[in-house]
Parts: sequence; C-alpha cells; structure tokens
Amino acid sequence: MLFALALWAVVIPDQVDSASYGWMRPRTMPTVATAALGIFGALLVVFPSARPVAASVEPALRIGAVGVLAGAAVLAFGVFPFVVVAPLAALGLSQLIGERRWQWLVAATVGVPGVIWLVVGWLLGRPLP
Amino acid sequence: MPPLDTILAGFADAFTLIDLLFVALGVVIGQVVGAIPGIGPVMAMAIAIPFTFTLDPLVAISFLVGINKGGLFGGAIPAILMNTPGTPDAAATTFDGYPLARKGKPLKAMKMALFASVTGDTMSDIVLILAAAPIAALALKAGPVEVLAILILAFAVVSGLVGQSLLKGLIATAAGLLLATVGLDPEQGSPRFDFGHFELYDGVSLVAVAVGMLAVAEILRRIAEAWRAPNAIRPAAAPQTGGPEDRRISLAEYLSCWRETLRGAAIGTGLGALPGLGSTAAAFMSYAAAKKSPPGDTPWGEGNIRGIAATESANSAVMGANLIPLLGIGIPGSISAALLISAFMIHGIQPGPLLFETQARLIYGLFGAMLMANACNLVIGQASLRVWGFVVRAPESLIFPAAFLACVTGVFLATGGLFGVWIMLVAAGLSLVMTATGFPVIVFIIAFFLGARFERALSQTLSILNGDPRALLDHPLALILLALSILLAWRMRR
Repeated sequence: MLFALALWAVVIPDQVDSASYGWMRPRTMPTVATAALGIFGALLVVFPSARPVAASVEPALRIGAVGVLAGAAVLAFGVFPFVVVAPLAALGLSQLIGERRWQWLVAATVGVPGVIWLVVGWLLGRPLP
Repeated sequence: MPPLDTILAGFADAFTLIDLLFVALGVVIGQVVGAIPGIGPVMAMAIAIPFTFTLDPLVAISFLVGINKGGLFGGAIPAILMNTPGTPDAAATTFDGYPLARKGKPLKAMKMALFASVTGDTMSDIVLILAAAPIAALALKAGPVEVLAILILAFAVVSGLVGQSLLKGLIATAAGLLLATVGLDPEQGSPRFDFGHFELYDGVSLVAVAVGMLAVAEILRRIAEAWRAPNAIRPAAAPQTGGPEDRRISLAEYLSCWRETLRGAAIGTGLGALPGLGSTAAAFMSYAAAKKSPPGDTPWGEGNIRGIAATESANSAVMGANLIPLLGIGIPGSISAALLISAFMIHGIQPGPLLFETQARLIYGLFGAMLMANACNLVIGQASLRVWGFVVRAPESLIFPAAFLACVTGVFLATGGLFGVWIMLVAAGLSLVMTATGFPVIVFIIAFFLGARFERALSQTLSILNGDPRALLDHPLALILLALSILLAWRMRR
C-alpha cells in the first residue's frame, strides 16, 4: 500500500509525462495499476492472509549472499571476457555448494564454460558476455 | 477454420528432418532436466528461449514444445526411482511408482509412466487441434470491450486459483500490469519509468523477466540450500531385479489401465483448458478418482500400475490443453504456455485468435510438431530409461553453476547486452521476495505478459464507450463476463 502511495505521489509524476487530451493518456494505465495495488494492498492489511508467511532471516541471508556472488559475476562480465569470468563464477558457485571432488570441479569450471563457448561463440557465431 | 491445403502444408512443415531433429533434441533435454530434481522443464524452457533466436519460428517453438513434453515424463523418473519427484507434476506418481520400484521393478514402473504420459498427452493434443480453431473463430467475433472483459475474467480466475490468497493474486496481477507499462507509451510515444536508461524504451524484456523469475531465482535458492547442507546424502535409486516380465509392460497390462488412463487424460485436458490450474492438481485429482475403484490384485499405494497410469496420463494431458486458451484467445493457461508466448513474440508473432488467420500454417505446423514430440517421447523414453537413471544422480555442484551460466549467456544474447542480465537478476530477487511472502509469481508473469494487450484493449474500450459507462449496456457479453469475474473472485476468496 505504501509502495502504491509512493508510486502515485512521487514516481508517476516524475517518470511519466502528463497529457491533457485523449481517453488513454500515458499516465492512465500506470495510475490504474497503482490504484489496484493500493486498494488490494489496503484490503490485505484489513483482511490479512490466514496462512503464515514462510520468510525467515537465515535462509534470506544465504540467498542474499549467493545473489551478491551472482551480481559480482555479472559485474565482472562487463569488465573481463567470458573465458575468464565464467570458469571463476562456476568455480565459486561449485565451492559454495560444497563440491570438493576434483573431477566435478573440472567439469563445472572447464567443461561447462567450454560447452557454452563452443555452442554460442563457435557454432552459433554470436558474441558472448 | 483455415483451408485444408494450409492445414496440410503446416503439418508437412512439421514433418521435416530439421524439425524432427530439434523436437528430438528438445525431448532429450526435457527428459534429462525432468529427471533432475529441482530443474524441470519450465526452467529449461526459460533458459532455452534466448538460444532459439537464430532458429526458424516453427523449429524454435517445436524445440520448446519438445522440452516441455519430455520434461513432463522426465519428472516421473526420480519420483519412481528415488521417491523424489523431478517436477511437482510427478508428486502423485510417487504413491505407486516408488513402491513398485522398491519391489525391484523400476523399469516396469517407468515404462507404465511413459506409456500413460504419451497416451494422455496425445489425447489432449487431439482435443487442442479440434477445439482451438473454433474457439479462435468465436474469439474473433469479440470486440475490444469483450476482449477487455475476457482479460479481466482471466486475471480474476488466475488470481483466485493460483497461490494462497485471492488478494495476493490480485496484487501480483496489478504489479505485473504495472511492470508492463515500462517503456514507450503506445498511444503517444512518451517514455514511462525509464529512469534515464534508454534500454528501457522498449520495455522490460520478457525473456529477462521469465528467465530471472523462473530459472535464476530457483538456482539461487537451491545453491543457498545446498550451501547449508553440502553433504546431504541423496537416497539411492531402487535397483532393478527380477526377470524380463518385470522390465516391461505387456499389451494386456497397458490395456488393463485403460479406465485410469482415459479418465486421467479427460481430467488433465479439462483442467488444462482452464487458466491457472496446473498439472499437479490434475494428477492428484486423477489419482483420487482412480482410488475410488477397486484396486485389483495390488492395493493402491503399494505399486499398482493403474495408479501410475492415472497420475501420468493426467499431468501430461494438461500440456496440450494449456494451449487452448493461448491459441484460442491469447491467454496463457500456465507458466509453460506463457513461456511459449514469449517465444512467439521473440519471433515477431502475436499470439491470439488472429493466429489462425495470419499464421495458420505455423499453428498447424506446431500441432504436427506436438504429435511428433509425443512419438519422440515414446521412442527416446523407451531407449533411454536406463541412462536417465544415472542422470538423476548428477551432482548439484555441476547442474546449478551450468544453469546459471546458461541463463546469463541466454539473456545476454536475447537482450543484446548486460543491461538485460541485470534485469534478470533483479527479477530473480523480486521472485524470491514474492515467493517468501506468498505472492504468486506465476500470476505476476502472466499479467506482465498480457499487460500490453490489456492496455490496448482498455484504450479501445474507452474510445468506444466514449467515457459513458452506460454504453456498456450495448455490450451484454462483456457485462456477463465482468459479472462472472466478480462472482468467481468472490467464490474463490481465501
């Protein structure tokens, strides 16, 4: 509900042009969707869902940490070529999962990026990140 | 109805070597990913879509259909071997599949699952082929006001059926529609919510959102789970013992399951045609219906092949029927249908009733490819059951890094830069938050996919009504549909 209020009061006026003609203006659809968000959000506050929310802190932190690693990998793709970043990203994720067997580590860090490079870069002739 | 020569030409397009190869490849990938718990055909389809860019539209869509069909059967493999369904659809298959495998007959159980899956799927496809064109012809008679009412009805049904609460479903719908407004306004061409990024002028990429919310979110969640318990021991697959009779399904055994197979196919087709009801519900309903009849020699839940037939025919029959609302009125009935929509759109094809007028040959090609995928499912499944038994033991440390890199590469290819990859990561984060707080991701994605169409229909409706709500009285069908939306939403409130 608060998100809808912020959208209506700040984001839509700032990010969507106003127009004074026509039935369907640039702001019509965003305003309709925002109004729906606000109304249903208010109803949810008044009539909360009977079922408890499954969210808890510890799993969220772990997923967040994995997300940060994924984000760092994407950031690195913008700086270094695929053949450098992909094996390191695969190695990091494999290690995070707890893999210590060298043959699976080699498969993840060399085999997987190699197959992608072969298929996309060589076979399809398309640029890699 | 399109002319007969167009229909035949479409089927002929499907039965080409290149199409056959890609359908077969899709089925192999589908069976493999279905056999790996936690991956599933939806994630595989989401990852594969960007790679289909360079393909002919029919070949690309046939490939995706192959993945989906292969995955629907593949999910039964770990359900039978390890009591762990590869996909939620196969959860009910564990009831009789795993006990039969524990008796030393996993191949018999998997073959029954395969035959029932292919039978249910084929029957559903035949219903799709017969029903989609007449529904589309009917839908074409509807004007923008009626289309808007149909979309509102679809949102009400999907919001009510999927997830924990109607209100959360409606909020997810509104959020999906809001995200769809990002980009240039279709009426006046002015940018909306671009936040200074010209990349957003074309809107948020369907592929990035679909891959992020369906695949990357699941990958991150599974990696985080594995991080907590890296040495979790997987249950051993049940070994095959016994003679040749325990390794095959005889014709008499297959025919003895005819009632469960047909009933399952009918339940799956019926539920699949309704937006929002998935194959998991169909499988459980079919199993519950089967259990009402006498079990025969083997009690239910103790390795009865009729139980396997009931669940597998039902969950596979959903796939074909899911395309009835997609091709008939342009509304995806499930997440896999929504992914097929994005594949259509990537190739510049707008799904909906007009498809039968403008792209009839492609649609009948798709129907041909679906039938061919069923045949491939049968042949490849028969030949590879033993191999997939090993695939289920592939380590997560290989699967999830590979899937993550495939997602990054695929979205990079589809969106032409890293901006799309960032959108994918943000979508994944949003999906995780929505899942944790009980908001249905599927509803959000379907609303996002339909957002542009909804805005167009709303714009045309406002022009037609000229701002006068009383003009709605000239559109009785739309009024009935709107009343039905309110009634259904009220009945489905939780």
